Amino acid sequence: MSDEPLDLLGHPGPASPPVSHDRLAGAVAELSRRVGQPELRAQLNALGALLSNLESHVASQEARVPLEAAISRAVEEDDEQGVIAAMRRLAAVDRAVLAAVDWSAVTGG
Amino acid sequence: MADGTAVAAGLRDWLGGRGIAAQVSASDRATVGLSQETWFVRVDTGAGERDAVLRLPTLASGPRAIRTQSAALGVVAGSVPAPALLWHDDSPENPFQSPFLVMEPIPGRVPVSWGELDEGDRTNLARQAIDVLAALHGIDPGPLASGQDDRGERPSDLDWYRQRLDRFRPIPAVLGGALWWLERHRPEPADGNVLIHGDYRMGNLVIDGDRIRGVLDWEMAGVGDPLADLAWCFIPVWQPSLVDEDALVARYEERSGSAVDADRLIWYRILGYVRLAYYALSGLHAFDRGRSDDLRLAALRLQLPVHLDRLAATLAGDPII
Repeated sequence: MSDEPLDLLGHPGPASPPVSHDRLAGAVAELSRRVGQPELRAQLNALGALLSNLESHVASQEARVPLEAAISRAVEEDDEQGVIAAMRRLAAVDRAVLAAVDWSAVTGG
Repeated sequence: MADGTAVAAGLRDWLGGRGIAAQVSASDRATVGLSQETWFVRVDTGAGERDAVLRLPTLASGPRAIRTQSAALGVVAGSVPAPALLWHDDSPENPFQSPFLVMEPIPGRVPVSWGELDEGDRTNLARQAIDVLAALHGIDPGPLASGQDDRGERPSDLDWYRQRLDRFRPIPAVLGGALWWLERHRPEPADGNVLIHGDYRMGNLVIDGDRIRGVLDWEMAGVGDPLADLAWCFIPVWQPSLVDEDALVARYEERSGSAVDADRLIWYRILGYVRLAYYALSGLHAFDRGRSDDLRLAALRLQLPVHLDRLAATLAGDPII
């Protein structure tokens, strides 16, 4: 152990450290596995899925806005292939940020 | 939502009013359904006990769901595997103060998606599902031909979903693009007077071993385009079905004796994704407005981008994941 004095005042932190959403989701998923009542288990699985996506489930507006505009523009120009191509890209952007959800756990029971 | 004691007492009193003295207990409430209350009950009339399934409407489904379901179970009895209807009351003049029905349970399990099954079972059961669907489409719709009111969901009707989605504006741009495409390619109305199930998919099929033992959830039955059922049968509500859809469409043509228009089938697949997006948005809306505390409705937020990605992939002719 060092004899150097600990500097605990030089880097002040938040009033209370944040809890990781991923850890919360993992804990809820573990809790759901211990619950026997089917409906409660399904609800806990849904809660776990929501927690695991709290931070990431919306794509950046910088990525989305030009693609939304491209869909509108292609519709105005009656450009069906342009509409589909822009839809494809926007949908992929929106899906890419999602954490995977085990829907068989959420919907089953 | 009713509790089990009240459900059992309600059925006991209703049976008593019809001269059937019975002891009734409610053992459990099914978890999966989002649109109706489903209770497992046991009825003892003195001559013997029987297990049964009691269904009540929810605010979301409305009483029409029960009335349509009881009519449909009567129409298809003996023609396709479906629960036998034991008792029903289409009026609200009963202890539940709403229509209800009681049907025989069907032993087996109800997987929520085709992807849950192993490959051999999936292929075999998908073929059976097509055979049952073709048989179903050949049944005289009887009272269901004229029984559809304006309030119920019409699963093959673009206008119904468009009007409902209008409540959730602004809608996602991809969904707006899909509505634009559907309007441009709207097919001619279907010929004839064909009975359709309206929600024919894994999740509403009872599987026992290697057989389909029953088709459930007839609340959207009516007349419509049979290709709406065919497209919906393998739509990935949760995960891709992993079936050979081309081979199954060919089988449907053979069993039904009707050629399938490929463009029309794709149109109904796109409409199916719009329908899934509508369910996600309406579930989320109900949760956000405090009409339901069901966390599964809130979690549908996470499935909406998946539906729209698959929709766009289908339009582009790409495989879905």
